[in-house]
Amino acid sequence: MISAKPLPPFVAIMLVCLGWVAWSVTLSAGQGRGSQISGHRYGPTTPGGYYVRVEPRAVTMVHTQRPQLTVAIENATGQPVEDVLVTFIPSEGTFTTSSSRTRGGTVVGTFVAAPGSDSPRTAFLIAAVENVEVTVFIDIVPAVFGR
Amino acid sequence: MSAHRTCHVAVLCLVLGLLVSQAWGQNLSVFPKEEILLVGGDFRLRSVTSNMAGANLLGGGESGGFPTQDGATKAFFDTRLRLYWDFRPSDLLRVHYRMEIGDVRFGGGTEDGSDVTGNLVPVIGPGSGGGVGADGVNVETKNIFMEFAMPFLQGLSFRGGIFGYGDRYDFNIIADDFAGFQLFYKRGDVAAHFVYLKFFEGDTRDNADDGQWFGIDGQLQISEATRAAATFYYWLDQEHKGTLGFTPYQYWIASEVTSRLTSGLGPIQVKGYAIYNHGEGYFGRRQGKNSGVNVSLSGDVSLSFGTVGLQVQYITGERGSKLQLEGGSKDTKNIGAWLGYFNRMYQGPEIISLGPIIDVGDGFSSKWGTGNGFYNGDYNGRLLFIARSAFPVLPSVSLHVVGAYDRAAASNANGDYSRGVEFDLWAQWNIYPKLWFRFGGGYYITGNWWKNNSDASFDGRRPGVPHPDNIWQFGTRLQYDFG
Repeated sequence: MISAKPLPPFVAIMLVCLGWVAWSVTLSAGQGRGSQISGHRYGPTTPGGYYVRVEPRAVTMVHTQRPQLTVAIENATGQPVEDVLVTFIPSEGTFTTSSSRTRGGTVVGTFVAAPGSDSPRTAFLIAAVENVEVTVFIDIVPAVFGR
Repeated sequence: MSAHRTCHVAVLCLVLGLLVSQAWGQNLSVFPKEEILLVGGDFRLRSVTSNMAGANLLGGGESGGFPTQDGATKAFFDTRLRLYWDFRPSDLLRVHYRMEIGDVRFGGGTEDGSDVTGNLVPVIGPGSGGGVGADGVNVETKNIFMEFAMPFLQGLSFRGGIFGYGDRYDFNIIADDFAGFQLFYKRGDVAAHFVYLKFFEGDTRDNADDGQWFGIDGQLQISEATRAAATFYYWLDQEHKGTLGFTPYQYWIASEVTSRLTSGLGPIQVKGYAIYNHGEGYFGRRQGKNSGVNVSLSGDVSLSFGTVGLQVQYITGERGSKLQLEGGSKDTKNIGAWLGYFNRMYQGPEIISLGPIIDVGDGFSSKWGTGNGFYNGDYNGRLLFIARSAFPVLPSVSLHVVGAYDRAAASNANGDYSRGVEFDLWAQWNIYPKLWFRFGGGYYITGNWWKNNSDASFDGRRPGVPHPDNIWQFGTRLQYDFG
């Protein structure tokens, strides 16, 4: 009978550290080249033929925080496109922008969670450009359980 | 050189190597915003009325709970203030301090408390301040940590100190405040972190009695509307080595997928996760190994008139009682139970999970449950069906209705599976921005699992009552969030 033993501590530490390094470097290596913001670009949209990037794609927040999100619109060659309408649909709360059309190729806005709810949950924000919709999942956690 | 020293040196070298490599291209100017200091927090007034029995000190004091027979109703008010200071000399760095005064029970100026292990802590000085004359000794440090972004590799940051940490799986595995370190990486579609937590430091000259936690978590946005995540946690529980003669350990391998689907009714947020757990010598309480699976699938649809959601969760369990599984006839056997460190399951029901009305404590959702780390399910596992909903009935008022079916995955020592059914109804009134009032209650119809069950008693070992009452709990919470 084979007896399982716990991993030696330094082996466990090395494994998680090396795993973390490999994960982060590998997955970030090909992202965001030549763009104002990193991350995968979605599109082309119809009929404009735009490409859409959203950053950050991962948000963990306390319900009183107000994270900022940026949507960048570019053409096929990666150049920013002006005056493109971006629509935001939050699953709760509000998302406010100074302009709903791109300036300098981007629209920047602020997400505010529904008032008075500190319960842990996952909200989402849809950024829509023509027929392309990109979803950002927003993990709302109690202040003391941040990740 | 001993293995322990080798371990420390290896970790130190690795961490230093990572930090130095990131700092290689560092070219910081002076911090431009030395004066920035952010203050915030929340103030809470709460009332709890319930027929739930409070566990004794072994069960976590008033924080524990279980059904009793013809038990007296308990009712009390309490209050809590949490304040934090965020010193931000730069967008790249912050120092955080969070304090807490509470939970101070009205009129409860001199009662004893319990520490993190559930042991008695005698009152000192003038008490907690809830009695006549107030002036309590009641200020606690909740969090202190420093966080900074490291140049060279954009998106990399470090956090160290005392901070809150919770898993992404409805807090099934771990959630509380800890001392430790975290390394974060967030860029583009990727977010990952490494976490090291020190649970227990015994003799500082020898780590043979230490309790330590290691974790790595990463998530990737795999399409416009879907993200996937994976996590590995490893708990090296040398703290309990002395009681067993070997080093207890547990590990968890987990994966989660979250997606937004479109439907004719509205967008549906689907979340599914699966966690495999394996270990030996759980909490130093038993000799044998344990292995188990925890799977959950939920969907919440946003309708024009509100939100409706369903969740089903299955947690594998082992037949029997704690008496049999810890030091009893099954102490050395391999069991098929899924276990967490101390979980704070959160899925919507007020009584059988971490409820939204009165928040942490005073319910089954206590991390202590009947004296171990699992919410009254102990080693028997769980099958949960949950239906939850939220309806905005007025611009500033929302109504919430929740129902849950609760069943053990494996029978207790008496052969019973049925744990009960819960119904909740509560409302929230947003009085002013950031000032809100939440009130409502839950009713739990107890099943046969609770009858004569030693797992449902003060210390989890004495016989349970033969005819447990159904449980009800009513609560109010007035809270102001600021900052």
